[in-house]
Amino acid sequence: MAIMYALKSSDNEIFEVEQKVIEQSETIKKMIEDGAATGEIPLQVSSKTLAKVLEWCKQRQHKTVENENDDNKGKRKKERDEDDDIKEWENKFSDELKADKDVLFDLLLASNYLDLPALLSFLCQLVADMVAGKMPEEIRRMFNIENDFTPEEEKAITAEHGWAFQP
Amino acid sequence: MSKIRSQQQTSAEKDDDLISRLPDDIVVEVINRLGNITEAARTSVLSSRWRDLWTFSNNLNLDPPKNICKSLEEIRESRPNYINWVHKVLELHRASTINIFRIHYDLYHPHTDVLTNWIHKAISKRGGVQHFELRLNLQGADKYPKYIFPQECYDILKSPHHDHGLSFISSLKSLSLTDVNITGEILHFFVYKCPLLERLRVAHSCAPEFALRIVGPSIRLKYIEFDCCFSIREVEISVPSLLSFKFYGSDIISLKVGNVPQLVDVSIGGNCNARLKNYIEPIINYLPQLHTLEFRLLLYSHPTDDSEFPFCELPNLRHLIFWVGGNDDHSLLGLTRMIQACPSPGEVYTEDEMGKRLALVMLVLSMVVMGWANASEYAASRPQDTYASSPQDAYGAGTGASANQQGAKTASPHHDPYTELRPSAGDMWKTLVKN
Repeated sequence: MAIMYALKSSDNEIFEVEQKVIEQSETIKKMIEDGAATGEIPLQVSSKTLAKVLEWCKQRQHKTVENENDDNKGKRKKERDEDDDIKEWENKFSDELKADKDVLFDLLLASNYLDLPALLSFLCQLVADMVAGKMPEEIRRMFNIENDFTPEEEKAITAEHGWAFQP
Repeated sequence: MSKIRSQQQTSAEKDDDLISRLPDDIVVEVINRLGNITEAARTSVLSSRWRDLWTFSNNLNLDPPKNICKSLEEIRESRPNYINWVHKVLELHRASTINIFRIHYDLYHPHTDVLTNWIHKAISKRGGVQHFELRLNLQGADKYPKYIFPQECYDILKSPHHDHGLSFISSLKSLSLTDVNITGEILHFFVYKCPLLERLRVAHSCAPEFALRIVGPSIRLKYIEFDCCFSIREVEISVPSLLSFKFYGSDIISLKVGNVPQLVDVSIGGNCNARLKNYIEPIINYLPQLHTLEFRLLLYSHPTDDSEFPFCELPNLRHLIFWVGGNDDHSLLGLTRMIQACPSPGEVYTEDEMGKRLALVMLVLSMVVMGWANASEYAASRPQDTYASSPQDAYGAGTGASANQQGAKTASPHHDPYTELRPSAGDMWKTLVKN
């Protein structure tokens, strides 16, 4: 029987989660080990974001368990199929986040706060892919970055890195 | 990572600057992943918060922007810009631990001062450099002498009193030098003194001739590649952790392969004026364990002797690749012994421009490989003026179905950025791939 924990989001929603799933978070793992996690574990994460975090953790957990159960026979083909499945799942996950940047950035903060290095690294790559190859004006528009330089300052910086700004 | 800031901030700031919610170290982590420093430096103009964040990036991939590499003229014209820009970046850069340090431009011996200065800067990083790469050919068409790996940097590295040299040595995981002449002494220093070194690649180095000896249980190397290093004619490799070994040389006198229980990927080749045996025999003991086996052989002045190709068992082989350059009187029937030893059917196809003579050799080969040849792949890549009347004639009719299923596969399924160099000598290459 799997040990379950109750996580409470910042807007007071309760999520029942298996210990193995939630232990991927170093922050929560420490709380459990220190005995601080009795009853509900309150987290500074909104329910919408926490749902996404758990979606990620369950997918990762699922993958780990399957790998442990495999014997070597036919493993290569299975791994390949699994890799395809994971890729597909990750693409869908990424697309949803790209469409809702608020959730994307909340998730980044949550992965940092909960100490989920794999998710943090996945999300940083996702943001980097969104930024790569774009001109500054496009990047500002995409993330609502306010340009607080004077035109002269901006010109000076652009000149400093001359060819970095070639399209 | 700072947790305080992330806890305090909420998603209430809806229409605000999204990225400003993130702590600096996450933003830097995003910048690290932009691929190269050009992209990273470009973020400095976004807003005052971003102004200097890029200088903390651990990724010093100093690739030039793609659009300036189009023609040789542009490369020559932009060279001073590249040099100034790298100077500026290295001057401003503040991160002390470097993941990737990569110089990539057409630079030669006349640029020794700037290059040596840059290597100095890399060595001086307190937290070391994990992946160090000098790739001094963008097009490589200028005929200057090559840059020589500097003795003065070597002196720093081997000095026990130099802390920075020590952190460079103790953190280096991969070393890749293209069109840099490096002596045997310095090369062996890196091999034996860098405890974390997993990947070593040297290409187009023409140092004075030396014998390469990479032997020892404490060496952690997993990938070794020497491409077009014609000054190395004696090689001895014995590394328990080795997974992949690629060597393209000329007239190898001796190749010894010792304790390599994990070796699964081998590519051997060169100009076989000497005996083909010197290339093939040393790896015969390892054939049963190999997943990928590639031969890149130039046989122009080598008389063909089919018996030099062994009868063998290749039970684990997934990719068998031959690149063979030879005269039209060369018989390659010996290759079939190896092809027949492969466990599963695959494909045949060709790369590069082929002249008429190659078409003749291909016809001979097609007799052998008929039944599993990928006819459509061959037809697509075959020039119009070859001798073969049609691919159907050469291959027979029964191959269409498998060709359709496998048509999308590529020549080198194991291709990685380190294998893009191919032998350019010779006008008639052919490739056989069993996949």
